[in-house]
Amino acid sequence: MTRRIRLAFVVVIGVVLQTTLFTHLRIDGVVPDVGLVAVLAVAYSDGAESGAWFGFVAGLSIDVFLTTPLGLSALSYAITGYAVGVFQTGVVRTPHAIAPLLGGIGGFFGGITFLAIGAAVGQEGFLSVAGLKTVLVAALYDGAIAPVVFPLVRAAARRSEHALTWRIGRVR
Amino acid sequence: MAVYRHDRRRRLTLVLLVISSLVLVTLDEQGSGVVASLRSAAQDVLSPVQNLADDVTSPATDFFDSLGRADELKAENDRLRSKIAGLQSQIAVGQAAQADLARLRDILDLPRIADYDGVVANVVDGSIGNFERTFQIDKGSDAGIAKNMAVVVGTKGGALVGKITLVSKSRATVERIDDSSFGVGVQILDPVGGLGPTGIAQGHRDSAFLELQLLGSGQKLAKGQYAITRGLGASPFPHGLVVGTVVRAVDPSTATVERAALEPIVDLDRLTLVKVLLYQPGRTP
Repeated sequence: MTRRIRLAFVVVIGVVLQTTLFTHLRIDGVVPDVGLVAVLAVAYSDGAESGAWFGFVAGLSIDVFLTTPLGLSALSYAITGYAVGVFQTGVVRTPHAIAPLLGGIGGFFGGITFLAIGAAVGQEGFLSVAGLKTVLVAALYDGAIAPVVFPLVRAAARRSEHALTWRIGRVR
Repeated sequence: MAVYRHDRRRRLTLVLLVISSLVLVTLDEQGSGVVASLRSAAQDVLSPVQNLADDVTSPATDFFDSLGRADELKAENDRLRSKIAGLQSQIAVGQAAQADLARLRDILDLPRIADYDGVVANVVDGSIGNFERTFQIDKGSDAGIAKNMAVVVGTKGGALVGKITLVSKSRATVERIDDSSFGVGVQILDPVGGLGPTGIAQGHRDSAFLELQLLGSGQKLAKGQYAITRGLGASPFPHGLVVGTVVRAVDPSTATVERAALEPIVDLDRLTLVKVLLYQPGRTP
């Protein structure tokens, strides 16, 4: 199975879980953002460009099911994926707890980006104390599910040996 | 040189994605038919998988939904028992008023909420995101459901709980009345059943109550008064659906704009079965 098909499966499974199972698993009225955690995993293992593209597609897929404007999650996921990809290039040594750390911090960054863009495009009440609290709880939740999501997504995002050799050769 | 080129391509990708997203947001905000079709088509494709996932996970989700609710249910039971006594006396008064109303309706040939066809649906899932208050039902356009239709609970259609916002063939998303983008024109009923002031009820992001803005000044409101839909003109809601009860009011002598709050009469987090009214504004049943 090619890498793109595997990643498409990740998006579909993420959307199905987000729209069904996780709507029942609320903590303090808040659900985690499965798609965003998957974006963080792809961006951390593959870099900024892949992170931005995967973020756009994953965000757009969940936007279809939200009542907020189509493109809002796509934009915030893409920016988050890009930012994490850029950050990843500066990391020399990967800490052991990278999944929960990145899930929490990236989740918070993604949530704040979503709120800020939402407010900029005219969504009422996005920039409020309650909104910030929601983002914070969601980020903690994202950090908690990240150790499960990261290995699965990174396995799906893994390039074949042949593709890796070709890619390195081309950059050189 | 290769690294520089790679950096530039990376930035161009981001710019392209940002522009694409903003175009989509703008099109959606303008109510573009293309975006609506895209949404509907994507939901149609995925809804069988969602239904399957709901069936598979329902034992686990039912367990999670009931988790930690024992104390809450006991307290609710006690509260309801004490409420029943008060309601029984109100029923007697209400039945007499209903009989008078039925006679008047027959004379004037006015439509009732119970006259409108409805589709009964199960609530299968809650809100998908953290910044909306919605729930999903297991019926869609195949059952005649369309965007903006009123969603109610009660055998005779009593209480408004939301309206349809997204529809696929076999599922639909309902925007709850306490969502911040929900608004409805309401009429307050005075304690003896007459018509009181009118206003606009609007959901509020930071509260479980609806904000009620009264039209006109010097209006008095008592706690517990019912607010019903006005059902004027092109409103998607027929007249007479209960929206909520008044929980607090601002003293009209100290406020320039009169604002109060409405509490929904049903627990919107615990809905299991709802009815979608196949009501079209301006048409009689």
